Amino acid sequence: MTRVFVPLLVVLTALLHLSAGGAEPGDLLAVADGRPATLDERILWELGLPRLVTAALAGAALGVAGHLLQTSLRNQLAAPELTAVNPGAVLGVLAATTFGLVSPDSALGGLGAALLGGVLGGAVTWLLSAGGGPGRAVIAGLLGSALMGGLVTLLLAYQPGRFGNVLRWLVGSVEGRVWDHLVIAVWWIPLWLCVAWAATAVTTILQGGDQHAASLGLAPRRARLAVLGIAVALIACAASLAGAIAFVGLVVPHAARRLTGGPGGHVPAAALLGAVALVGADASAQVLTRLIAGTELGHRLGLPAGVITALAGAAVLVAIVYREKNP
Amino acid sequence: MSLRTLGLSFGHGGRPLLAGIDLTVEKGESVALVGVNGSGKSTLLRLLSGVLPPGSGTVELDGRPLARMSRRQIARRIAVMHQALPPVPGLTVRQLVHQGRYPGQGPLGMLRTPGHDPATEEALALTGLTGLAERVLDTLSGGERQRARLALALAQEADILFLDEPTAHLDIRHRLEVLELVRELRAARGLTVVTVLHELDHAARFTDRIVALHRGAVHADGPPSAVLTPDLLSEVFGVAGRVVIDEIHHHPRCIPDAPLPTGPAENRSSAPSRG
Amino acid sequence: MTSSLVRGHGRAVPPLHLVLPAAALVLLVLSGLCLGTPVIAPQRIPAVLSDHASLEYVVLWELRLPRLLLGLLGGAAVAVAGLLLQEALRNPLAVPELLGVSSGAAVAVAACVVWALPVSPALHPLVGLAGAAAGGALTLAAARAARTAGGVLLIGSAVTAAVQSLLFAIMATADRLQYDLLFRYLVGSLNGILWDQVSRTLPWFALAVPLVLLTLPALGLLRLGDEAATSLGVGVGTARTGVLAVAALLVGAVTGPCGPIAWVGFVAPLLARRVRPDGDARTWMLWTAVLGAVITTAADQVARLALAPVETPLGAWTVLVGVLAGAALLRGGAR
Repeated sequence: MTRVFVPLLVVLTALLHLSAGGAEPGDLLAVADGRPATLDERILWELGLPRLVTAALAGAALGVAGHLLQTSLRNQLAAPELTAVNPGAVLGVLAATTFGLVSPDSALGGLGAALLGGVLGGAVTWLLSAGGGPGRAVIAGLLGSALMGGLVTLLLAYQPGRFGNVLRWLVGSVEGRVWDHLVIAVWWIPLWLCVAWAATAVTTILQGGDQHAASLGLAPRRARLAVLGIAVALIACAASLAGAIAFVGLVVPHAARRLTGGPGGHVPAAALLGAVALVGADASAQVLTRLIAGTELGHRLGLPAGVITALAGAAVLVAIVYREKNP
Repeated sequence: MSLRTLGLSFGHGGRPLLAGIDLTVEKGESVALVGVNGSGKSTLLRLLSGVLPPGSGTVELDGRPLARMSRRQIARRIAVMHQALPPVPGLTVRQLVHQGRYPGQGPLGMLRTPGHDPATEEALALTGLTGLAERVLDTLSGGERQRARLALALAQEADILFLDEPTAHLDIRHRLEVLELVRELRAARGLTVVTVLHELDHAARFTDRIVALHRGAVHADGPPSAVLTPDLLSEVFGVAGRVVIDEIHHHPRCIPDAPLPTGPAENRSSAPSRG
Repeated sequence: MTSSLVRGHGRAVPPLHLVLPAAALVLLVLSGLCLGTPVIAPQRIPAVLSDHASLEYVVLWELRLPRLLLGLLGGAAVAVAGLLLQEALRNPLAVPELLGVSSGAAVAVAACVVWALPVSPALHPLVGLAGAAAGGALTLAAARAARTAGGVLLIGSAVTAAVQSLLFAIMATADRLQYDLLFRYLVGSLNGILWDQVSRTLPWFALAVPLVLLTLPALGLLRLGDEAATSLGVGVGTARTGVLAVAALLVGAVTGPCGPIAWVGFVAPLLARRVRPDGDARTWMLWTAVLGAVITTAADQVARLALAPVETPLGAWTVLVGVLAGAALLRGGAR
């Protein structure tokens, strides 16, 4: 049931996303050979499709990264944005572009900066939580995220004029991405998704705690660091594409675990549902933007996907916590 | 020779828990570790299984120090039944027991056999859990959870089995069931078994050798009939009592009569608070 | 009443503990007035204030003094709000930033300012209060389901993140000139505070002081735990709601002119407890207010001078202080 349902959902959401961007079914067939002819076809090929691919890749990466964090840190509420990894990656991208180290449109430079920042953020959380249990990791993550946020604010104050360019990273948006931005992500994210899937046994055993893992032949600290490394690789790439997308990494893994039976299905399900969530959020962002386009307000306001995921995610999170209390 | 410790010591926060333990467990033996709460039984078990690194001294498995073996190599030889199930929400019994295949198969091998390999099925069958295999762990009763823990250890197919209080929280019937099952498995598979037990009568009936720990050191070591004496009851456990021979099973039985007002013997000042 | 508090507890305090904050306050007031461009020597302050025509008078009287005053009052208010939340919820990490209170207030005020809604600036504290109450109520309603303190905080940060993304969306519609508003409502800033803002905010502080004093008995009882408090005849739910409402008022009043002064509400109560580990709610309240004022004015002067002539947001610096203090708290908790 799930095996048919989820892929179908992916295709449907993708079509919805493209049509929300204004594409017609005819254009879709016409660009299938990779040679757009008319203006509509070129818009679809050069803007619509890259935007769709960006949303799908970033969503899949965040969904799986969240799953890895939640299982290896043994905390149902660990997530990329709550462990300072995602804020750190955003800080890395912003710092690199603000100081002119990296061109804002360079795929490789963006990924490198995001990786450095993500590792920095994760390391802060790791150091703060060292020696404590799963509960302390959450508090350490919140503090680390606050630190990253403070540093981002200082960066913004350093060059307030660039604020307009920076906003998309702060809220999280997949708008305006073109194929050039995606040259690395199209193989980087699938590669790490495969690694994450191959490590399924490791993450599931880590979930049972240090003693459990150690007596099954898994060195807990080293294994946890390795799994966190995979998560950082995924989060950094997603952040270099779409900035601080919140809640996909927190909520999607729960849904994925609920929908699939064995641990083997968790990673694929988290990837697909993550893609669906972000593509769907961006589709609704496009539709909403179109709806308010007539008003004076909408003229200035392009609703980013990050706003949709944050609002929807907060609602779902509250529902999850509520359900856990009253099953 | 199978498992040997040399001068094994371990402390926590400056307080020594175990000091200078020299112990050899031969292949095929069944050893019970007994002692009061806080005497270091569980710590010794964790040191022996390499889960905890020793403060000083070594643990050798067939002449090789555990410290020089990888975690997976150790887990292929030694399986531990811990006191509690790992707290994993939503895991089914089969998924848990299948995790015991990790030392043998590694992360990629685990993907090829998602929970339906022969060793998992055998461990489930031996512990009578086949019918409950798809149940979620949280829904199991106390006795069923105990059997799931045992099945996880069995699925490792190790030749040395450590059991940490396998009968805790069980009623009389389930206690006997678990201990009988371990005895049968040991006979069938030629396992070496080390069990931490609180019930001295169970230790006497189901094992060939009792090691009594007292204040971080081995106080007595030998066959049940030699170790279980009224002196042991008073010195290690702090109770006055008698030891009689069970007429049917022919093993010693301890009958505690009264707690001694002075408690267990020796340096009482450094004793952990009892109660 | 306040002065009697000082005297009542002054005898028990080692002199150094009293002298240090007082000296720090005097120093900060002087440096807040004197440092910057132009530098005004302390002994010249009376002279400058009497010469209404000079540029120095304008800088001192129109810019530095109101900013300093609001820094002192706002810092104290946010710090006390933090203490109220922590005591009422009995959780040292229950701070405005982690409960959606700050961001709720910020987004409400930001919407008024950015979209130029027809609300008089004098009523902005009221708008902020409504936002703070809404954010906090949302968190607490959702958090009733959470079992652990960590769960409450996570829900709070979820609400915060959602509200903050709304804030960004609102900011995206702002004109270029309003960017400093972003910093103000994101982390707090005292940039551009004039007598206008101070005079609009002062009545709200005046209203808040007696209310805060009224919460003191309730705080003492809530500390005993819900059961003990109930058996002493306190309506725990009512008392807690009252305390939280006062906290929301404080945060709302500060957020109007300067935004949520980030993390001061966490650090100041923390330090107050360190200074007086044996204290009760009253001593902590006093110390929290003083320390909050000290931290805020100190951070504001760093914000003003660190990267001069570029102004950095005050909140960015208080966040750093907050994280350091949080790290220390975690280390302390580990022992």
